[in-house]
Amino acid sequence: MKKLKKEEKNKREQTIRLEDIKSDFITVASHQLRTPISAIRWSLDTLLSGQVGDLLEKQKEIVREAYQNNNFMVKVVGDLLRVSRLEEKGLDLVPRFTDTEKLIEKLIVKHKTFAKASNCLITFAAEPGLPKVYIDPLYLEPVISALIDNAIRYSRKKGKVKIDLKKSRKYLLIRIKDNGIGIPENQKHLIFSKFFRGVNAIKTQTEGLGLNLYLAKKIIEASGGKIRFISQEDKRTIFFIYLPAYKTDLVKLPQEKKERPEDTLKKEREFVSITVHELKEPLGTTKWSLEMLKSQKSGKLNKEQLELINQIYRGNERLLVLVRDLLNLAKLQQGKFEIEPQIIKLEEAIDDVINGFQAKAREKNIKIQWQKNKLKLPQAIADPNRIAQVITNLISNAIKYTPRNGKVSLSLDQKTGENLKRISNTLLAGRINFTDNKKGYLVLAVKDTGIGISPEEQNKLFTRFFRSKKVLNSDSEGTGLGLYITKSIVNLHRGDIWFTSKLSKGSTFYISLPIA
Amino acid sequence: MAKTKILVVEDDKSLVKIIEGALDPEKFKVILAMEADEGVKKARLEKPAVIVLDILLPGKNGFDCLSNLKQQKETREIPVIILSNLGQSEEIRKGLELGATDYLVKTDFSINEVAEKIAWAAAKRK
Repeated sequence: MKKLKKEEKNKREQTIRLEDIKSDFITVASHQLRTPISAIRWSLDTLLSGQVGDLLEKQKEIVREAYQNNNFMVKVVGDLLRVSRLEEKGLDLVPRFTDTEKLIEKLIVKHKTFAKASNCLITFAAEPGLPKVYIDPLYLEPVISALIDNAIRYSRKKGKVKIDLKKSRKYLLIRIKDNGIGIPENQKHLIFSKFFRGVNAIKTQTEGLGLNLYLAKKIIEASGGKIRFISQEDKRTIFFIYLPAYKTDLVKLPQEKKERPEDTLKKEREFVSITVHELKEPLGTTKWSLEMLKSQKSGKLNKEQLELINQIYRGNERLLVLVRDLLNLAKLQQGKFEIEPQIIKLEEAIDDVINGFQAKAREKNIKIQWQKNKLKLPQAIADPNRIAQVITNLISNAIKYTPRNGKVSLSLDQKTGENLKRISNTLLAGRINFTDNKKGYLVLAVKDTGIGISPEEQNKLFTRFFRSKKVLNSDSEGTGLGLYITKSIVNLHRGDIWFTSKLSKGSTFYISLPIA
Repeated sequence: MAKTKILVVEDDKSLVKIIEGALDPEKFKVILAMEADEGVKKARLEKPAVIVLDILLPGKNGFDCLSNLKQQKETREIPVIILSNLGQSEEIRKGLELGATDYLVKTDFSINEVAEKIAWAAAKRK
């Protein structure tokens, strides 16, 4: 009885954890993106600071460009994360009386470098004896920061940004004035909508997703404040932000109905497609710039500089892989991931993939053993390219998680649907769903002598962004999307993927494909 | 003069190296811990002036580490700066409620700003 309860509890805990993983897709995706992005930023900082040696002007220029690209990626990921969080969970404002003058002074310091680089002068004035405002500084700070950033960004040469604070009845009024490009008359009604970008802004600036003002309005209004603006194209824009100087009841945003799973998926898709779209270009450009630096054609580098650039390069590559995986994921979710099944000799597909891995295996002194079946096996129904992708992923994982001098062995067998049903019953995690092909299945097994997967982690293996805790310790770089994508592709073939594993002994992954 | 010890709890070694590079080597000595428990252990052993703490770590996370540090007499007073890629308001709030001195989102600060914050916290501690 006691045991039963415990099992039940374990099961429940597992479901909760799984739910957790599912609903937090965007957070995890953002974190995955941010990790290399911040590492790149700091390496670039170190390079530019001259700490590890001076750079030639030509080199500096390349590094600065990479820096700008990086900066842009920071913004994209941050903005998307904030918007999706807001839509998913609403706002959890915790207001307290806050000194706005101090807050703005701090923000101006933060924007000093950018303003200087943009040749823009910021002035700030505050009326004496201002009241504190009742807001959540954690939410308001990024909002005001973004408005100042916009003012600098869209002010033109010799720009002037004027910020002042004054009391306005029960509110504190912040005015942010720039002499920039302004907002076109016919677009004024749109500026607080999601993904708004002024037509004139698109012409002069490539940066920005058009989410800042959308967020600003939502957050300011939820805080009991107001945001207004006046603008004249090619002359100026002034934003008026009214924040409550008294204790307000939190204004409830019209609560969206409990979200349906398809809405969540839709948001995830939106997030993914924008991320992929926006990041691809800067990542591509950065890759070329870094290769240019690495080749030392733009100037010689010392050992430390080279090491940093290699580090940045690896981070960039990691982001590219992540973006590619996200794209696959988005396609899978949209049902746009198409397979073109043909009748193929699976052995040949396996041969090809193994050949591609020999060099990598030799590096770690890992032996790849491919035990061909003595029987003549029938052909399978599969898309040769997609299945190659699947086999590549399995072998690549096997090599990645197997220590030096280990072994990866592959075998191919024929099984009936009944065979598979029986196997399914013995599995600790997951199950085999496709067993109805009358001619049976070919089953590929990829066995490694690697680190193995702990029983607690086995259940989560095919979830998006799963990465073993042990994996986080090793130097291998995965996005945690690989197995999820692999599973989805195999399932599209009406086949299954499963595994058996023992900690520090190794794992075996199996895929089944229907026989033609 | 003895160098000021900074304990960095972070599983990405290359980042620690970058942080170390940004701090004045004459003044600071960086101690590395790659896991939460190791972080607590080293905090007790080395008595650093400041602890820099990542949140997503293998095994226990940084929040566990932080509450552990704040529960122990020997480590309670050491200022902890959280340095993480997680930066939603609930995470920031949780970190501050658990007693962190500062919560820095990695992508929001240049490495020199991070170094300044560490140096500043260390100076204040003295």
